[in-house]
Amino acid sequence: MSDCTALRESMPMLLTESLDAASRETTHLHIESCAACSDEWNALRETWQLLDEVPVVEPPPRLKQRFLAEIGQVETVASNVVPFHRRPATKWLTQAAAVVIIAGGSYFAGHRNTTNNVVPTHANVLRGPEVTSIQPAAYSIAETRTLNSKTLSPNIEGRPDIENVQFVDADPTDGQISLGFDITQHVTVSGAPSDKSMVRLLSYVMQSEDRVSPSRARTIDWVRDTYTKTGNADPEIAQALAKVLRNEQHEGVRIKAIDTLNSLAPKVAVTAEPTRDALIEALKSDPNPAVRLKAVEALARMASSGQQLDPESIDMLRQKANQNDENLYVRVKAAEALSTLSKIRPE
Amino acid sequence: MRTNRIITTIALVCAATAALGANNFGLGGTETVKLDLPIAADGSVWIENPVGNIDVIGTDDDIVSVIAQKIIRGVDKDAVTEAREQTQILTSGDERVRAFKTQLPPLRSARWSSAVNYIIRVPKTVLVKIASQSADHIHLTNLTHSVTVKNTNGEVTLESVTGTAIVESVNGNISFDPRGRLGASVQLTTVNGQITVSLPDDASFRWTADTIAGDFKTNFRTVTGRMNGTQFRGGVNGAHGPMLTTASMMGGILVTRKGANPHESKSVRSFNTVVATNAGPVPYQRTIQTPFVGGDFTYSTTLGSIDVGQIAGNAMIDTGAGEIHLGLVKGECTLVSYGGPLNLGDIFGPLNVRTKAGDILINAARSGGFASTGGGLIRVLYSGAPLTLHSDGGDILIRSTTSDVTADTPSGDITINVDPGVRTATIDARTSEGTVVLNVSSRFAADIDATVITSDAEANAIQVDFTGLSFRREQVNGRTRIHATGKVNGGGEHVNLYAEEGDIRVKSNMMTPILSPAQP
Repeated sequence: MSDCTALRESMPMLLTESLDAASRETTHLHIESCAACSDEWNALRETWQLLDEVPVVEPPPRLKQRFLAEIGQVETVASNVVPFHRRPATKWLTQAAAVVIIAGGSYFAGHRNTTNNVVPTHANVLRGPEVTSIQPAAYSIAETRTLNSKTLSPNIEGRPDIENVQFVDADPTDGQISLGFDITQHVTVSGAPSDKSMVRLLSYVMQSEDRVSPSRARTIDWVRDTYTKTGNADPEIAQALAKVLRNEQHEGVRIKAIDTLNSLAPKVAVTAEPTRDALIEALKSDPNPAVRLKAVEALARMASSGQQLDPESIDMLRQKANQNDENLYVRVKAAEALSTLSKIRPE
Repeated sequence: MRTNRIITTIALVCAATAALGANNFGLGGTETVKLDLPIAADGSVWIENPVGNIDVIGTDDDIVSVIAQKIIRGVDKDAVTEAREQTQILTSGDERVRAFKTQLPPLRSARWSSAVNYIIRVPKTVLVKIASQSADHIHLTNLTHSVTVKNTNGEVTLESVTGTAIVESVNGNISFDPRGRLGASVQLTTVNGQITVSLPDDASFRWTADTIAGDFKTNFRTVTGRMNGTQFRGGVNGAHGPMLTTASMMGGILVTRKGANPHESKSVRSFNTVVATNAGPVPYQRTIQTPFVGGDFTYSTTLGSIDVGQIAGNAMIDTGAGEIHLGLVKGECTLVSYGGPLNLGDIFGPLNVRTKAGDILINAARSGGFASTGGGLIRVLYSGAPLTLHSDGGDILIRSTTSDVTADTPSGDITINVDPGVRTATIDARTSEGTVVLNVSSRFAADIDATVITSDAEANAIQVDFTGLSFRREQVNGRTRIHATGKVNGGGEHVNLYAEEGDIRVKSNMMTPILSPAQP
């Protein structure tokens, strides 16, 4: 029993592979011969694996501050620093009044000087007898402008906050799409999906962080519907999706990004090296096995699409197929993806 | 060190020695290059050849003798010329290291193809390194120093190689025969190929092996060690001597005694001297396909796909990896997959299905139940009883339900269509990145509590086709929280809807009910 106690104490080190070879062998032999320790070892290993799956969560700042205060690690504030006080309510009232005056003035000036372009579909929605939503229809007090994407520079200056993004494909047969959004006014950009300005704008919408509505997932859905059509695929869209794949915190959105990459014409994806790198990175380190699975499928498609095999993708797939602690299905799929390469004989 | 680095385009230098068609390829042809270079007895030879066979033969000479045969094919004369120019055989290095490389453009025209076959004679004491992508074979023989081979496609054969050997292949079979005892550590790995090792009867060595879809077989009489899951660690004729490492993910591994019948080989699992820990039966990858099961169906495998047309009783299936497809289950349906999609038809009994990765598609969950995926889409065409769905990332769609639904996903849209005949039902739908859409009949009665958290301060993110709800909008941690509560059609069961960075829509204009699948 004393052996058991001693060996159980060394199990965590065995788990983290910190034991020397002799102790490791001894511990393994004991585990195999002792049912109780074997149970203990299996439980420990399962717990360890479960811990791997627990996401790392940043503690809320207030909790962190309270914790640091309790253990006496609070950063001391220099005596010459003026504490930050909550603004008095009167300040808010003053600001609100100012906003009302400015907005009212802008509205009045706007109506006197410009002609509004009202999108007919909005009017129809408002008139429709079935709509009984008690929410008022959205409207902007600023003017609305409709721009042709061909007349716009494809370069987006700075990082403007664009809001209330809407996608419109009024006539799917005319090869034109529209993207509406609020900036300092409501703007609708119309044009062919392949126009560089349209591509850049959509790429920007996909990559903007937290300031874009509707959600990124919906943007990706729309991009998939539009850019997987023949002739519309563009490397910049693939690159934007790759960035989403790298930076997005939601698994579902990452899965959508890979699905869309996979749907894009393989040649587009191949020419965009960042796309391949993002897929390799996702396969290597994404915590969600479903995302890694999608990355395997996308990489396999990319690797087999070119005439020459892509060594980095193959290496990553090979690594995954051989990785003992990887999800077995991901390993099998990686091996299957590699086996399709045997049919590709460039000579 | 005196460096005599030669970078020569041998195809140009040795054009005069071309055996065939140097001046007229037509639609293809071959060029042969011969070259002799001095090398130190303990030098190194590196060969990088993307496409083509490689034969390396150890000799007692002190030179590297190369015969490279360039094979060109093209759709026309211009293509052949381009192929000849762009397929270059390069050599570099000095007497310490000799490198031979076939250079091809990164993106090749589809109008031509080329391959280079190498036959290289080297002093048998040199170190040899080979990198290849596609070949019929790579053959090394009579070498006493270290050998490293990395390839994608093509069989790798090592004969009379007595030094350290490392072979990494993707799809190629590996064959190793040192023509004697194991002289040094050998590491042979392939993803989809087979590994065959042939050693003398009295060879003693340590052996580690790994495979997820094959087996380790041997006809040696004395094998000891232990199996742990998919790995074997032990020894042959005593656990001492050099280490033989063999790993084939999807193929088998065979270690045979020379002169003995290889068909007498048996799995190391069957040796009494091999201790098994967590090692089940051989997990050959296969698909269990059955049209009909008369009673209960219980199946467990670490690797395999299951496809059953109809199960008259309960279904209990557990797979480590693989797809599950069940057409009809009359009883309870309990499925656990550690990876792979679940595709279910008409399930009469309660569901309890989960997969760690993959989509879940269900035609009909007549008695409701629970379905969960670690990531992927969940789509249910019809649910006839309370159903709980969870995805760790992905959309959830219920085409028609006549009962309560609980659905949650951290990212993805949730769409629930409540059957028009249902007057009220408890619905709980939550997404942290996406939209919730609930379609109900205009007579649907419920106590609705809907919340949207959005970064868009001006969003009208809750749209309800009913009157009677009160809306509240407030700022919470820099984001806008929109909350709608109230009773519709006089109130009924609780409908709790929650969406972040998306919308909530409760629609009452569903005019065309989706019919549930017919009872068989």
